[in-house]
Amino acid sequence: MISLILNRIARVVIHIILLFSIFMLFKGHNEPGGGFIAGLMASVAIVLIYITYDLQTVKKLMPVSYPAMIALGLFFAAGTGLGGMILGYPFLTQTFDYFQIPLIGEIELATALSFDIGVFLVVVGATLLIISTLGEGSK
Amino acid sequence: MVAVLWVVFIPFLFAILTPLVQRIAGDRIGIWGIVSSLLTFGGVLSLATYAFGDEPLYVFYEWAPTLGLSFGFYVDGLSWLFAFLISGIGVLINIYAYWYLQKPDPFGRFFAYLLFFMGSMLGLVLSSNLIILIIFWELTTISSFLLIGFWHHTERARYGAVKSILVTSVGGLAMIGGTVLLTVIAGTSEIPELIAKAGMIQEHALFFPILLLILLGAFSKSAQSPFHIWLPDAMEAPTPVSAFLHSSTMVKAGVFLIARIHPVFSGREEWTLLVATVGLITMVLAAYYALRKIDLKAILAYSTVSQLGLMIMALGFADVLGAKATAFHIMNHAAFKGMLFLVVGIIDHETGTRDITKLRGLRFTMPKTAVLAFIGAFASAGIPLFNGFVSKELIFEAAYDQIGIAPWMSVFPVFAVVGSALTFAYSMKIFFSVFFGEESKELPKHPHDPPLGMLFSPGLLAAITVIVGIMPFVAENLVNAATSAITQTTTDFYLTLWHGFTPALWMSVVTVGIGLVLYSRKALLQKMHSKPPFGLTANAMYDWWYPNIMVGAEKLIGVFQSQKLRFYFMYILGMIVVLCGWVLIREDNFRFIPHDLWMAETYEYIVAAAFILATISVAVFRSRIARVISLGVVGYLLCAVFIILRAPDLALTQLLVDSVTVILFVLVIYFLPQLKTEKERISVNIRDLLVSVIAGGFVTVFVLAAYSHRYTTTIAEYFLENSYKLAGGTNVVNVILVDFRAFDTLGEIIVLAIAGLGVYALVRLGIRRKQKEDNI
Repeated sequence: MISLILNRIARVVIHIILLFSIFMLFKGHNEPGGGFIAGLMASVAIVLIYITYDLQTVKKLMPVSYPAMIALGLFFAAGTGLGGMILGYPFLTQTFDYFQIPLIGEIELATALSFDIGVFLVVVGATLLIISTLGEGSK
Repeated sequence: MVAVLWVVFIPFLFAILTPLVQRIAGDRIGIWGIVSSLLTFGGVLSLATYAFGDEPLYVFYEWAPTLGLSFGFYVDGLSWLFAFLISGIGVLINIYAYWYLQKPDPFGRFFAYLLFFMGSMLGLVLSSNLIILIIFWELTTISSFLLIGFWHHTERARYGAVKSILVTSVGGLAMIGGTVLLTVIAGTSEIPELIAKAGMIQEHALFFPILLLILLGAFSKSAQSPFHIWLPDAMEAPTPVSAFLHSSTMVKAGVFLIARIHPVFSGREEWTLLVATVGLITMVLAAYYALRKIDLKAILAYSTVSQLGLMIMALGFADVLGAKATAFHIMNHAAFKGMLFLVVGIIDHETGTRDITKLRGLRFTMPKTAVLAFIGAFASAGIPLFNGFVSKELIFEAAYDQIGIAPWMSVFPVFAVVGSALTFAYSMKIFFSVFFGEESKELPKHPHDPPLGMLFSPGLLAAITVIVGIMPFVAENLVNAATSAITQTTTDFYLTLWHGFTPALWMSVVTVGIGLVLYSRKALLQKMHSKPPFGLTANAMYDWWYPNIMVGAEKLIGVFQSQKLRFYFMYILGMIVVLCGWVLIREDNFRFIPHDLWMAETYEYIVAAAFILATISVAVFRSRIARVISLGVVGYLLCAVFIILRAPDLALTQLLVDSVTVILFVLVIYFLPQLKTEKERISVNIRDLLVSVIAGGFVTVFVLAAYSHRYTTTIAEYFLENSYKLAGGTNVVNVILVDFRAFDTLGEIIVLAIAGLGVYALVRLGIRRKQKEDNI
């Protein structure tokens, strides 16, 4: 049974939450946010799909393997650390610089972002893996 | 510098990629292994300049500088000699294994393990830091475990694999302890720096415990008595593995370690007493065992143990000659023993048995193999014109020199001769009883010489054995470089076949004489076979210890892992109270300065009151869902507190974590079967209440004490000041997470990942088991 009110609201809200989570991910270095928060937020959005519809819908909308997502996240995070090591700095040394991009203006690119993306992926992957496994296993 | 990284990481990289490549290559995956080992070997050759030049290569990467950890490589004569052997023999083993493996063995897995081992072993010998060395050391143990258990469908293979990992890890643990102590007293774990501080270390009161602990690791790895018991059982591995890991390289890791720490520890009497004596005992005992065995691989296993003992004994002499003899013998032994293993592999492969009582007269059907076996056996026996003779002669010479130091040390030359005579006897047994006599008719397969691919590797090793045996000076530079590295002195030796009528020569003559007598009386020795030399053997102890330790471990785990959340909480809360309380008392930090604690806004009081209400309702409500929701309320209120304290990041995180937690809880509870509400006994309830009150009360005291100290300078100032300057971020919380404390975050996401995968695996396994039961 799908609740009509929830259904209608979810359709709109999910997009906003997902978009906002990505905003949080990229803004995290200078304003509230970051990979952990963004990851949780994205997971909540997807959990909302699960609550409103069912697991099949989630799987149809997001045909990815969660363990693979976790692995990719760890790869990003650890890879960021190793990247510094190859250049001769201690493990997980982060760096940053500012770039001028036409139309958008000055932006800052930090290696911390790629670390944060790793955190994001692990958080989303682990949360969804747990929730979907429990949801599936209880049937 | 790049070459070192290349040498260590190419095998790992190729090992990781093996499963992918196998999809394309199929059964030809062996070529992948050969290519990888050739690339590695090329890298090692390019490092030769550092081994033979004046200056060793010392590359240094910062790893965790605040912990004093670095990731460094050190290439000198000693490490290069080992790297050369590992990668060179690695190439030959890969070539041999390509022909050796037969369907239905999983080829890809075999080569992946083999390359994994090669990378670990190269890392072990090349690393400049003892801690890193230990990490690679344990990696070789793991790869050896995997390779011994390669045919894991047989019980013997599983037994051998478990035994090898247990026995070597016991020593490995001791070694970690010794290394930690050493690092603490010397203030460094870098090997070159340790060598520089050798004087200070030798004066230190902890010298002996450290030496003993580190040597335990080396002895267990190099199968010294009484740890030798794992090596014969490791022979369940495929023969290329036995040849590579369990005779020519991995088991020499202990010899390598002893040689590496030689400049740090040798010079005191304890060194000779421990190292040389253990080596001596092992050498004689194992050679005796080897003579009585009837399985060809078992003979070779004990013979390897015995030869390792010989090398370790020579290192124990703590002089230049001993070091030189060892360096030379390491090389020679790797060649002839590796070759003998490969030959036994061929015999096993082509006849279907390794039983020496069944094999006879193979020289007619396997003439090429017979030639190889002849060279290997005579080199092992120490006959002139083969490489084993030259290095054994050197060891005799070094042993003979010991007589001058102390009278009791004349046991070394005497028993060196005894051990070598036994070695002579079993070497002759290997060759003559297998290849001579009447042709045996009851072999499982019809014997014939193997394909050329299998002959290539032992053939090349045989050629080296003979060339070095006739012209030892070809190895001069390498031996000199390694000796200089072991003793930290510049050495300039000449290696010759003919030394003149020296005591060592007479020792060799006596060895052959006794050896011939032993060989002709071998039937007599065989009869003693049923009687073990002691009632209490190391093997019997292991077999008693292993099941008992398993039972004990299960009992111990049963105490901690009670499977009840309640007890886990009690342990955790109890530890928090005890540990934090202890620190508070020790530092005398129990104090309460209210500052302006009561000057709160009205809404803050309201939040606090709501907090208390929600918390009480968690405990009071009967329905599970209601409890979970109350818990959620507590979480959201905490979020409100964070907002009041102007911590938006924390508030956001708390909000989201709380939402996800509540959803998870509801999910679990919703689908949980309807359990009967347990009727708790009053005493249990009182106990739980007591625990909660103590824990809650303690946290309150702790927070108040922390609050009272808030005027002292905190680390926050550092972060606030440097967040933008050093990390280019204005969100300090995030900067701490991804930059200043990124290592912690990495740890946390790994924990998260493991938790996720754990839940997945447990639930999935449960479902699968249920389905299986339903099907039945």
